[in-house]
Amino acid sequence: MESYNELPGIHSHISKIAAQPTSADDLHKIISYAGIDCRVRLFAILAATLPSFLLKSEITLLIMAVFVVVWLCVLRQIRTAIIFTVIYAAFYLLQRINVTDMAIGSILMVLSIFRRFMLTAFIAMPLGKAPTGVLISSLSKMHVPRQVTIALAVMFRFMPTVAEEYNAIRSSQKFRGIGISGWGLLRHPVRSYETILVPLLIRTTKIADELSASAILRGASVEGEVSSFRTVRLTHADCICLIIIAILSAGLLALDLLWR
Amino acid sequence: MNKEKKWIGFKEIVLIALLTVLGIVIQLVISMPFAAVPHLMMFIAVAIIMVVCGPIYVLMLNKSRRLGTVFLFGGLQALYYVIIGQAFIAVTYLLFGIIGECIMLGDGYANPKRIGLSYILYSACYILGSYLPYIFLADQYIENMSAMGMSEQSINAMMNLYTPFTILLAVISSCIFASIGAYVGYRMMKKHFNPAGVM
Repeated sequence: MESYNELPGIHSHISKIAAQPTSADDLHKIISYAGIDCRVRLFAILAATLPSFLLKSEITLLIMAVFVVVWLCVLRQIRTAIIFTVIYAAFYLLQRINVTDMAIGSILMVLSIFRRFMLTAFIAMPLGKAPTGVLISSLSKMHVPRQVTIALAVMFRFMPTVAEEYNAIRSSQKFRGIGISGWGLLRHPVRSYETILVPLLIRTTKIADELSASAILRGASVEGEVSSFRTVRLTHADCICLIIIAILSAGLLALDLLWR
Repeated sequence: MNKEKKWIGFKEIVLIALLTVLGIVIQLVISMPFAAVPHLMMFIAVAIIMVVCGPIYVLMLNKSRRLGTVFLFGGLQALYYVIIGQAFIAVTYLLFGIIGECIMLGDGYANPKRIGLSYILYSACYILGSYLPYIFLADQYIENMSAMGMSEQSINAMMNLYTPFTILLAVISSCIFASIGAYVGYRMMKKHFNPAGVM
């Protein structure tokens, strides 16, 4: 350590890195993974699927939208909650317009269907935000087959990677003068197909190879229950949350029957 | 040992999951500009999707020639549709997974014709799953639309878009484009994937 003292810049940098994980407060934050258990999040998706499909009256759908906002706020995903509110309100207001024209009407009908599916999609979002280790561990506690668990964990993480890979390929092809503008891509569909989609596919298979190799090396293919670095257990709060979700889902369906 | 090798393993699962996600993202991106106009969506967007996703399907089945590949592919798609709240299409995809796996029994994974056939089945399930609800749940949609304040005339005109006949036409067109997609997939295999050493 003495040698570093002569170089204050490096020393302070190293001590900063070293200080981060050893601070008891931070370590506590990492280990005690705050938030609702993944099993409850999964149950919320299942509980939301039925009402989003069966509800008929506008009022109950609105109440459900409020539940979605509350659910996102409880999980401290304020940004997602705001995005949901803005999109939902915009669609709702658009449908208040009185239309007689058929073309606009068909667009509005697609919107109304989309508005239904938005409800479950946004309830599902917190599951994707959970740390992968926690997700795998809690699913394995539910005795979900290993094949499904791994596929799920990989899928949630890969969505952003697709966009990254696409951007990397696009920028390197632009450098070669291929598809500099979006219009250029559409004008030569076969060429853009071969220069963008094929590399994307090859990259994906390479990523799959690397990912499975590194996961197997870490023992991911070993049978048995998976534990997580962060503590995974159903707390009392989780159980209460589970019951509340079940009651709300059943209540929505009952209300809908009453107000029909 | 021999028996274990017949079923998909860890490596295949990761590959299938990633390619399924890629397929879903591509489907989303392609269908977005067409979403507003039902006829364009039914015929043109689905045709483009089927041709573009053909190579993904062919590559996946050729790289993982083991039992369970098609079922996992169908199951993961079904799971995605359950999460975004379209339960009906999820059911058809599960059915596709089971029937498709039956098509592949024996030496199916080495047989281009059977792979093409299962891809055509997939495209048919895609159309049936997305448009049959308009027939089964017609009352619900009509109720919704009249709640929106649309006149009876325009509602009727709109529901006439989704007759069994148009859906049958859409199934046929998507099957044709799916076979083109599978053919393109094999062309791409010969031209790009094999030389690149992906297989």
